[in-house]
Formats: sequence, C-alpha cells, structure tokens
Amino acid sequence: MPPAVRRSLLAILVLAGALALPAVAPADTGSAGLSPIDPSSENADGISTIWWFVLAWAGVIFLIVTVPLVVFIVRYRSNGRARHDEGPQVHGSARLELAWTAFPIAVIIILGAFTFWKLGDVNDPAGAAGSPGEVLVEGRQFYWQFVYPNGAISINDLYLPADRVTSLKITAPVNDVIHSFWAPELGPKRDAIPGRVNTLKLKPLEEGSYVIRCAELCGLQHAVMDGTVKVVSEPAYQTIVEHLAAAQQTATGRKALGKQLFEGACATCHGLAGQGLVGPALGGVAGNVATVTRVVRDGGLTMPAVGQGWSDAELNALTAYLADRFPTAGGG
Amino acid sequence: MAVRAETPGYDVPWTSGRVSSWIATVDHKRIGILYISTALVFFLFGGAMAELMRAQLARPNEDFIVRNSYNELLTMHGTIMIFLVVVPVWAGFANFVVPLMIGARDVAFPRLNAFSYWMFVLGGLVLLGSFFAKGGAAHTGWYGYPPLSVKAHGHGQDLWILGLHILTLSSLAGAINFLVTIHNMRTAGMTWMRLPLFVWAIEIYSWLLVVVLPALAVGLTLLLLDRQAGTHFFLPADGGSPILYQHVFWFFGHPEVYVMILPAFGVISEVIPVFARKPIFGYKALVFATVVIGFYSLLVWAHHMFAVGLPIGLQTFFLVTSLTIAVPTGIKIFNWVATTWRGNLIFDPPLLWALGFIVVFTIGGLSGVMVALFPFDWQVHDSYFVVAHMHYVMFGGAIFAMFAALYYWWPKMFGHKLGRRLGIWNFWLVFIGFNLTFFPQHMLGLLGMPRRVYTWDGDGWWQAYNMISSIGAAIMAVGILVFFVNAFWSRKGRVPRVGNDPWLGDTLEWYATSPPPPHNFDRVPYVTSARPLRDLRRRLKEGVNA
Repeated sequence: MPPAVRRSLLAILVLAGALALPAVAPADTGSAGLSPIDPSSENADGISTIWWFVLAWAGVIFLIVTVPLVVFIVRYRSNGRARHDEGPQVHGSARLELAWTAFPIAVIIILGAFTFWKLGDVNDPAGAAGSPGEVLVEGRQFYWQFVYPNGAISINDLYLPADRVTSLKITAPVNDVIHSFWAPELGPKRDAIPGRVNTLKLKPLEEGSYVIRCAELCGLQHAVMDGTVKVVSEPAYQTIVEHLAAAQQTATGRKALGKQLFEGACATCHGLAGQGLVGPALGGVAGNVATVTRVVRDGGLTMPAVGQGWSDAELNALTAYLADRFPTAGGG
Repeated sequence: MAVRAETPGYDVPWTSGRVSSWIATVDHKRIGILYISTALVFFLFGGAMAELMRAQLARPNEDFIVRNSYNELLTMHGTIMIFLVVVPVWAGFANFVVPLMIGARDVAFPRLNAFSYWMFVLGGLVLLGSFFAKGGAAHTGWYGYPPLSVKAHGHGQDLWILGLHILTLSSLAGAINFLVTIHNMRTAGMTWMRLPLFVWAIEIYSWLLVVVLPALAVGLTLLLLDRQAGTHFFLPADGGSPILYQHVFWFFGHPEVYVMILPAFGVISEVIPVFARKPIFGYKALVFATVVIGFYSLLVWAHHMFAVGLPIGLQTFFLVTSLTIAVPTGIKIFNWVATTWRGNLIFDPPLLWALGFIVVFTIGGLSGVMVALFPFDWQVHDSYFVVAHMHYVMFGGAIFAMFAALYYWWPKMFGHKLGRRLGIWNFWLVFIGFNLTFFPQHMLGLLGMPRRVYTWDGDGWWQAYNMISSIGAAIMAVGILVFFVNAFWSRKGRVPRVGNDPWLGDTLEWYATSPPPPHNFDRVPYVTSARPLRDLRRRLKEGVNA
C-alpha cells in the first residue's frame, strides 16, 4: 500500500471514529446522539417513530453507496499503474441502471406510505369524546400570549391538560411579523402568521414543563423568545384556568398579569429591572400612563408595538404594575 | 485564418496593459478567470462571517456578536455564499470551459458576457457596501420574509434588494449567453448525445435561471414597493399576504438550489471517469437524470413551507415531488460509484474532492429525503437539522465540486498544476473540518435548537455539539487557507509547466494549448463520440503502430 493511500485510509478511520463517537454516545444522559429529544406527546411519538424508520433506511442506503465505494477505492487504486493504463471500457448496463432506478422508487414508496400511516398520530391525535379544548396562541415580538376560552390570559407560560387533545389556534397580530410555535418535546411546529390562524392539535402525554422556542427569525430578540408549556392533569388544568380568569378580575390578579406582561413584553429588551438592555432604560417614563399607552400600542422608532390588540384590561394591568413597580418614576 | 484578419496590425492600448487588458477583455477565458477569482474573494468574506458566527455559538450565553449584528451576519453569509460565490463560480467555470468543450472560439455574445461579469461585481459591491448603510446590512435572513423585511429599519434591506436585482440581471444575461452558445456553436459532429456532461449541466442551469429569475425579480420589486412606496402586497394589516411572498420566493429559491448543484454534478461526471481511466457509467442515464432533476426542481418549492399550515393535500403533493427528485439523484450517485469499478484510480486532488463529494452529498441527499416527509419536517423545520442538511448539500455538494473543478482545470487555465501535496492537505482538512462542523448540527436540531439564534442556553450535549461544530469550523478555515497558499505557492515559474493534456482527459478543452490562445483552436477535430480526445489519442497511437 503506498503511503498516500495508507494515510488516506487512516484518516477515514479516524474521521469515522470521531463522527461515530457523538452519534452512538450513551443515551443515559437523556436524549443524545442521533435520537431525537424525548417525545412527550402523541404527536412527537409519531414523529419519533417516523424518524427511526427513515433513519434505518437512510443508514442502509448510505452503506449501499459507501461500502462499494470504499471497496473500489482500495481495490482499484492505481498503485503505481501508469495513467495510460485504462480500465475496461464499460459504458453502462441497462439492467443495473434499471435496478438502481427501481430500488429508490421502491424505497420512497415505502417511506411515503409509512409516513402517511403515522400522519394521523402527528397531525390529528385521537382524543376523548367531545370537542377538544382550545387555546389562542399569539406570537408577538418577542413573547407568547395565550388566551384561554374563558378569557384568562397567560404570558409565555402555556398550560395544557395531559392526555387530552388541545387545539392551539396559532396566529400573530396583523401588524406583527411571522413567528413559529415549537415545543420540541411535544413535536410539530406551526408558523404564527399575521392575519392567518393555523390549528395545531397537541396531545401531551406526560405532566411536566417543556420549553417553547420561536423557530422563525422574527427580529432582534428572536433567539430569546422562549416560553414554557406546563402540562398538568386535566382537573388541575381546569382549576388553574378558572383561577386565572377569576383572579384577573381583581386588582391583585391584574397586577400579577401586569408582572407577566412586563417580564414577557418589556423585560426582554429593557431588562428585568427596567435598567435598559437593547432598548433604553425605562427611567422616568415607566410610570407615565399616557406615554406607556402610546408606546405600547403604536411602538416607537425601533420598538415593536408589543401591545397592539391588547384589551384595555391588559393595558391597565401593565400600567398598574409599572406604577407600582417604579413609583418614584411615576411622578412626572 | 479568419483570426489573423481580425487582428489589427497595431497594438490596441486596452488589449495590452497588464491591468487594462483584463478590465476591457471580452475573452471568455479571461472573463471566466475573473468570475472565479472574484467569487473566491467573496468566498473569503462569506467564510469569515461563518467563522464569526461559530465563534459566537461555541459556548452558551456568549456575548461576542449578538442580536442585529448576528442577524446581519447570518443574512449576509447566506446571501453572499449563494449569490456571490456558488452561482457566479459556476458561471466562471462555464465561461472558461464550455466554449472549449464544445470546440467554439468564444461564447455567442462576448460583450454581453463582460457586462454579466461587471454587473456581478457591482451587485457584490452593493451587498458588501450595505454593511456601512444606515441601520447596517440586511438582517432578516437570506430569504427576507415579510412582514419582517418590510418593517426592517435602515437601508440595508433596500440595498439588499438593489444588489439582488443587479445580480439577477447579471445571471439572466449570462444564462441566455450560455444557452445560445451551447445551442448554436457546437463543433462539427458534437450532437446532443456527445455533449460533455458538464455542458449538459450548464444547459439546464441556464434554463432554470431563465425560468425562475423573473420570479425573484418580481418578488423583490413588490417587497421594495411595500417598503418604500406604501403598497401592501405582503402586509396583512392592509389585506396583503405574507404567504404570497414565500410562494414567489421559493418558486425561485428551490430551483436555485439545483442551479448551484447541477453544475457540481457536471464537474463530478467529468472528473471521475478521467481519474478512474474509464468512460462514465451510463452517460444517457446521467443526461436524462439532469433534465429530470431540472424539471422536478420547479415543482418542489413549497417543501420550504411545510410549517406554514398549507392544506394536507398540498403538502402531500410537494412531499411526492420532493421524494421523486431523489430517484434521478440516486441514479447519478450509483453511476458515479459504478464508474470507479475496475478503474485505475489515480488519487490526484480532483478525484479526492469528487469521491469526498459522493460521501457527503449522499448524507445531504438522505437528510433531504427525511425533511421531505412533512410530519418529520414539522419537527426539524427551521432547526439546526435543516442547517446541517443544507450545508451537506451546498458546501458538501457545490463547494467540494468547486474545489474539484479548480484542481482539474487549473492547468488549462494557467499552464501548470496546483501542488499535489498541499492539495491533499487542503482536501483532508476541509473534509474532516466540514464533517465535524455540520454533522453534530443534525443532532442539535434533533435536540431542539432553532436556527438563526444568536445565543443558546443548555448543558451536556448542547455544549458538546456546539463546541465540536465550532472546532470543526476552525479546522475547515485552515483547510481553505491551504488552498490559497497552494495557489500562491504553485505559481508560474515555481512549478513545471504541463502540456495540453496533463490528466489525459476526454473532452475537447484538453486539445487546446494550456493556457489556450485567444482564439482557442486553430482547428477542431471532428467529433465522433462523447470522448473526442481519447478517440484522437487512440487514432494517433494506431497511426504510429501501423
């Protein structure tokens, strides 16, 4: 074996090892390697099944291509033969070419059929009798707003009942931009598009907290537009949502909502203490109801109109919280 | 000959100066070299941006380059690599090689050709210059979705639109030029079934550009009107539709992927037979596959929009077309592998790059099949899985083939080869760095890392994969610098000159001298097969033996 070939083979081995290491590394640290994040919904289970099925086929096809390639590389390397030395003048083979046309066709039919067999689980998981619960999901620069059927509002925290199908109505305010709602552990993502309502039926299986990401570039703070899905038992879900709705009629409840709005809509850019971050320090304006109302409703020079479409109750909740939180600043 | 009659008896000032002769040139070979070298300069810019992004993402909660600065980088990295590197580098190789391969003296419209090149330079300067605009460069991603791109402040987005408009004109003129050249200027005996596969690839590349660039131009114009003229084609608040833009953009955007990859296929189909010392396996199947891929590429655009919430029936249509395109692609890969069977494989750098291409492109193709299955795509869409897939296809495909083409045609361009030893270093560093950078990104996507985020927070595997990816990017950068060192090292006077045909090639460009004279050929042999030069060598040998 000439040194160049030996070096090449060595490099291939080293590389294969380096790649295999992260791929097959122990799965006991949770999900890792080539396995998807632990699926925690019926939808994600379906996707996970499709993934493993397709991955197996992909692995087989990869080997069908690379094993002969590596064998030919080793077996038919020049090994000092002159450039003038030609291989057999084979121009093709109708039978072989037909075979490797038919084989991929068969594979894609199998993959497509399997996918459609599992599509139901992913797109329309089976729920209990009766119509599924609904939650309105609004992607906004740069927070998530969730409105429950009884009018309760939560910011960045989405409560969902376990083992029930919930129909998420995903949208964005008409003056906002496109976002994409994605809770990786719960499976499919759906774009939140201004002026358009998408439906995503999710059926979480296990109680717990799951991160929400924005998956469509939506501007300055796209990277930190995170939220949490809090999956709780069905009775607990009913209690929480009813409690939220009732509380938001009271002054304390409104302040709690105001705090959520501040942390979700304001703090991402102005800092949790209003000290300024991407946006300026809130300073004197935080307590000024008129200014806050204008800026929040219409936006500023670079500031998005975070509060477009807010109900008066929401706006009051924020201003009340701000007046409370930044009392000295409110003097002006 | 006619050539002599056209040459004036005195020195025309702008055809002789070292610089001015290049600026005023209408010679397809010089324009080709200008295209390639300019694209390589932009490649360094785009690559540097990628390295900056990997530096920012190496560790969690890093604050090296954040928010809009990062968004500018990701936008301009994509825009530069697509519009200023891969597409024009193929225009460069097509310019240099196609007329030589078909035995023509130049392209059909040499001055239009020069116009295309200078428009490309202008478009590139506008895009790079936009970093100095008010509000910085465009920062809404390389596909600039409205409403974000309509709301974007500053002039970066407007300059981005202007730059792409200019590049559209450049590519359109270039594509028409290639089509007219290939259709009308083939030498005697060169039928369509004797056309080199790279020329076939440029034929389809050009058709695709002619068909889809108008769609891009329309989309960009409407976007500009929305931004500056108060229209609302894409603004839902006034009844417009942001989805409309996505359809228009991807009707251009997906064929654009094949504009970048078909010439790469063409290069691989030229290189493997020459270095395996065999004819290409299944020439007709490869031609057929190229045409079919070109056609189907026009029918798959909405697989970029699976998360938009299109009706399931429509998503099914695009799933079927996207899977279908895997079939002709598979035929190509199997035919390339079959070409190496019982060959005399000579491991010069062009073959290394071509074989490396097969491996990484197969991975990119397979992950492409995965994301064509829309329920799975709903999970990984807009995640790092797609970033990995797309780089396996675009870098592992187009850029690997670009290096194969550089090493393969360098002796024809400059009369000497690039260094072999440095070439091998170049290949292995990039191959290893590339896989270390992008393979772990599949896993990051599966773990739930969205793309286009300037920072992330996580532990365990998140940290490991991101760190490996950044280390790989650094290795890749070194590997690419080795190429430039090689180009500098093996310059004229330092390395031995080679003859017309150093690789014992199959196609007509190796019949011309290295480098070819301005008129390319004194005469062109009659073409009787797809491998005219091998035929010629055999006739000469038989003539000597007889």
